[in-house]
Formats: sequence, C-alpha cells, structure tokens
Amino acid sequence: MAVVLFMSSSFVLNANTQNEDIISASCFDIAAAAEQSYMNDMATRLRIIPSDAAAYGVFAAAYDGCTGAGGY
Amino acid sequence: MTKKNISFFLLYFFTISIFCQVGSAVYVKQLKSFSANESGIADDVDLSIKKVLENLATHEYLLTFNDRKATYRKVKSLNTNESPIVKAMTEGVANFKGTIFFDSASEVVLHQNEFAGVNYLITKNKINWTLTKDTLQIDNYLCYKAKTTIIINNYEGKHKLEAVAWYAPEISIPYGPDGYGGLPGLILQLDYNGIITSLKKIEFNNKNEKVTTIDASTNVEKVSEDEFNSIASKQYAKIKN
Repeated sequence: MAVVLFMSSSFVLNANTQNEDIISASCFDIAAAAEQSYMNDMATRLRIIPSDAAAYGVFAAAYDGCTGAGGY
Repeated sequence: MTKKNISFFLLYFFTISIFCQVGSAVYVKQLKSFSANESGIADDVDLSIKKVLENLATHEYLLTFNDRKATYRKVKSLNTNESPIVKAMTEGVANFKGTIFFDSASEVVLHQNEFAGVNYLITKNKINWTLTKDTLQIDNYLCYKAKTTIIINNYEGKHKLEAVAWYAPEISIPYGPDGYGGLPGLILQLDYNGIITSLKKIEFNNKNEKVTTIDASTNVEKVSEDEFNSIASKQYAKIKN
C-alpha cells in the first residue's frame, strides 16, 4: 500500500465553453484532502487522537486508490 | 482424607491450571462517542464516518495464548467490500494494525507492522501500570482496574492520554488487546483514546487456535517503539510540508 511521495502537488482549474467549471486535482491533492477530512473527523466527531502512522496510512491508501483508478 | 483422594484433587487442580493457560480470546472494538446498535448508526453521522463505524463493527481481534506466549491480530474482516481507504481509516480509528507477539518469560512485546512499504518489528515500550482496588463485573469475571498514561506525539503536538484496563486475576495470563498486558490477569476490557476494546468470547484449551511465532524468513526492520514513531512522523511530515 505504501508509497513514498515526493511529487509536488498541482491544481488546475479549467472552464469549458458552457461556463461549467471543471476542477481537476492531482492524486496528491485528493489524498491530502482525504487525509485532512479524516483528521478533522477524528478530532471533532470521534474524539480520537490519531497517530502520524494512521494519518499517513489514510493518505497512502487514498493516493494508491487514485493512481489505481487512472489519476496522476 | 485418604492419600488416593489427595492425589485425585492434586491431579484435578493441576489439570485445570494447565488447561486455563491455553486458549483463545476474541475482542471487538467500539467508539465511546458513537456505537452501532440494532437500529444502525444515526443518519446525522457523516457518510465517511458511518462507513468506518460500520466497518469497525465487522472487525474482530483474536488473542491466542499459552502459559508462555501469545499472539494478537485482527481476524480477517467479515466485510468483503472493504475499500483500501475505509480499511486505512478503520485501522486508524481502531488504534491497531499488524500482529502482536507476547513473551511472558522475557516480558517482551513485539509488534509486527507494515508501514510505508517496510515491514517493521517494533519492540513495545514497557507499560507502567497503576493498580487500583476498583472492580467491575464483566460476564462471570470480577475485574480490577489498572491505569497508565500514554503519550502520543503526533504532527499536532504532544498528547497525554490515560489508558484504563480491566483485568481478571481469575484468568492468570498477562496478556490483553492491542499489545497491552503485563498485568496479573487477562485484560477483558481496554478503554483508550476514544475506543473501548472488549472481550467478546474466550475459550480454554482451544486446539484449533495456536500461538504463532514470528516468521524468521520475513525481512523485517527491528526498531523500538519510539524509533518507529519517529520514522512515521518524519514520513508524515513529508506530505504535510
């Protein structure tokens, strides 16, 4: 599961001709967002102090899931 | 009392004593702040938390023990639809992943745990328990309370938490869930970091479950608990910075 991540994040905002915003985010951004959401839930809803290993595990699982689904 | 009767009673108690030292115990975990019940989890709980709680409810943890050694690990999840991210979140909530190896003779507790692609064999820190006279009846066992302070150093800082264990002197083995042990009896319930880990069932003289040993052929990196936490923190800091 584990990946060592040194890639820089990228965040690209595009707009198409129909004026709909399409947001594309890198797998790093998606994984970081998943990890942050998890950390917030742990602190505010579940009253659990997460270890760094657990937080990293969530990030790595989300990143692997994203790249496995064809993300970059 | 005749010599024959004395011999019989001695043999009886010796046999009971031996059998009581071999067996298996199953533990389950639940959150103190939320818990799944027959009517399910409340609708106002976020979807991601709901999935994690539902997943946690399918998890069981097995302790197999004899008078010298014990192993503790998660039983294969009953949830076949467990996605990797829900699995990782559930492991974080459960405060446990990997396999624990207890050795009561040397008083060493080892934790085999995969992290960032490396298989670690972590020597757990010795727990300094404070024993109290508080009691709690758990099923048929009279349990006594023991407590200790655990310090979690994470990205946000240093957190001092109290762990409370209820152990049964009647089951005179120094083991428990999640690597907690060293008490004069089996820990039947552990209350730590928002999670309650409770004994679901225990079987003595269970020949189907055997204490496993560390696979010597597995390539592991041997570290102390403090070293492992430092490695994890450094790895986590890389994605935060």
